[in-house]
Amino acid sequence: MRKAESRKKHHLRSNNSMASSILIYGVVIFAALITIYPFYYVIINSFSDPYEVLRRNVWVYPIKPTLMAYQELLHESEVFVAYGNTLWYTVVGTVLNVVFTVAAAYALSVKSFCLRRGVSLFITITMFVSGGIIPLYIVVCKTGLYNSRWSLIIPTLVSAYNLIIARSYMESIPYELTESAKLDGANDLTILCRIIVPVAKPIIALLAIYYAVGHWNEYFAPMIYLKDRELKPVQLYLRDILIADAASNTQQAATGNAKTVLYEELKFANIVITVLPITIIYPFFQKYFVQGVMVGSVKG
Amino acid sequence: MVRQGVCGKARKNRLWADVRRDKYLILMVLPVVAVFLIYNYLPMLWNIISFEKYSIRKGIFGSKWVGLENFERFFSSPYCWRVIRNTFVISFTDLILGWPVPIIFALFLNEVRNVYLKRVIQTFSYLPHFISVVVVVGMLKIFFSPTSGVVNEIIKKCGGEPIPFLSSANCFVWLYVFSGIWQNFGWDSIIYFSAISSIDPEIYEAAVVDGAGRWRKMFNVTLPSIAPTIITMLILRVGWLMSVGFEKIILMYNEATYETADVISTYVYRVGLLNSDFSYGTAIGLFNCLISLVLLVGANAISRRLTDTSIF
Repeated sequence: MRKAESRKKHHLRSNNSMASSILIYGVVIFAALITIYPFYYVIINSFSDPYEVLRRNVWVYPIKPTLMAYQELLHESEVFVAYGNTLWYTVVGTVLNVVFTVAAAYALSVKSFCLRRGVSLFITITMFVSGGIIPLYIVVCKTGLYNSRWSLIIPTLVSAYNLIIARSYMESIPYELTESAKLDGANDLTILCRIIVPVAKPIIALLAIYYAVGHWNEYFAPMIYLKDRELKPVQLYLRDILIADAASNTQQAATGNAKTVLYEELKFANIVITVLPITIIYPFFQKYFVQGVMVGSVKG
Repeated sequence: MVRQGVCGKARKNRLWADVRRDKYLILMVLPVVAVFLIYNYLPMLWNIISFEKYSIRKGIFGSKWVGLENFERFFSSPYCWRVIRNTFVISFTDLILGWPVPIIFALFLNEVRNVYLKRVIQTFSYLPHFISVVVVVGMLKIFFSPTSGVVNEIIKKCGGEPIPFLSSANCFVWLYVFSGIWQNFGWDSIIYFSAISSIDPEIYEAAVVDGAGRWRKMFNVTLPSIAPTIITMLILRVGWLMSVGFEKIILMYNEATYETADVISTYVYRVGLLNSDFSYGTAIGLFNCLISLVLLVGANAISRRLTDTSIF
């Protein structure tokens, strides 16, 4: 913080030409606008009059604001099922991911642990060598997970990358903290729950957001492992609407005029409800990102 | 003999003592080790089927051993050259265009003095990183649609002819690369920001005393100071060259763009999973894995020699 202060002062002292300021602010603000405008465009279209949306008149602000698209979504039972599935995958998946990652990371951070080197190597190797998607697919089917909710949870129970990040963080926790507890006769399980977890909150928050976003956004694994419509997450539903739209387009047209008109707008509303949860929670976790990226850049 | 026996016994006792001391730690890593064993190492073993004519009915031990036939089939296939070329073209374009953008962004944003503006811009720029590929490709289709997309509306207003971006083989690589940059430049710049913030301010003060202006400082102080980070990131990207974002390509491409869009991993997905030609798909996947391993080891060796940093 102090460094930043002094640099600011030093900036104030330095002479700055108008032109370079304009260039720098121009480029940076342009970059920010380019990243944010597509989201803004999607939001204003989802709230506008469907005919105006079809005519592509909505550019700057919503025209004749309406909630029609969202009301229509409330009648789509498929959206609710998909949304519920995604919530299940995200909550159950993230909880299990975090529990197992934190436990393993702690064990691997204990210097005296007899399997430390072996298991670390065993896990690091998987970051560089993989069996490929087809052998993995076969193994997932052979272990009875095909068309099961657990196919999205168990094979990706722990990410090697996240485990290494968490281990590096825990290695930086002062040894004295656990040492005194050990002398008092506490076992490793107690130390993990009572001492490590409270101290490691920032990294747990980071793991939680990485895993949760991963589950929320996942479409490939559910696409290949899940067959039943009732199991499909919201990303697959969205994919059918946004990307494989040729087939569903004609289907929609057959079901009635009102829906055809709303069809375009429903795309926007669907994007909004899928992206919204992430954009809401993400600012709360933002302060951990820099720390996380830094810990992650320390080699495993 | 006797001595050896005692020694072995002592070692055994020590092992048991270790296990007893670390029993909770072993319990903590056990589930993770099991999952990695089953879902990471077992699939590696299953690569054996790339040397077989695998059928689910006969299983891995009953299927006919065919040696390198699947590999020969791939190398003599008309798609072989196409998918290898596309993999390299897409990942190299991505590397060359995608690598400098976050650096420039970090350097420029570092010059913004208004703390609130800086924070707002950072928050905005990280956001797309957290959006799913489905949404990104969906928005891409909406924005670049030939009939109603915003981009073609602008082209029409400027008097140009609408371009069918999504079904044009020429446009595919650019759409892929620029949407990737759009999604990740902010996130990728974090590492450069933290490198910049660890530069000693005294160096800047010295530069000012020597009469350096803003650009001078940027090129002669900031850039050299973060050079190790820049080079490390470049090498990491070279190492990951073969792992193009095939989840995104599967959503983006169509028959009209296969010519430039079909990469090794998407081809594996199509022949292996969609057509259930498991052995052939696995063979191509194994080939892909070998190339990327060579690239990774090579990039790491260069890195170790040039910058003293290596990932393993």
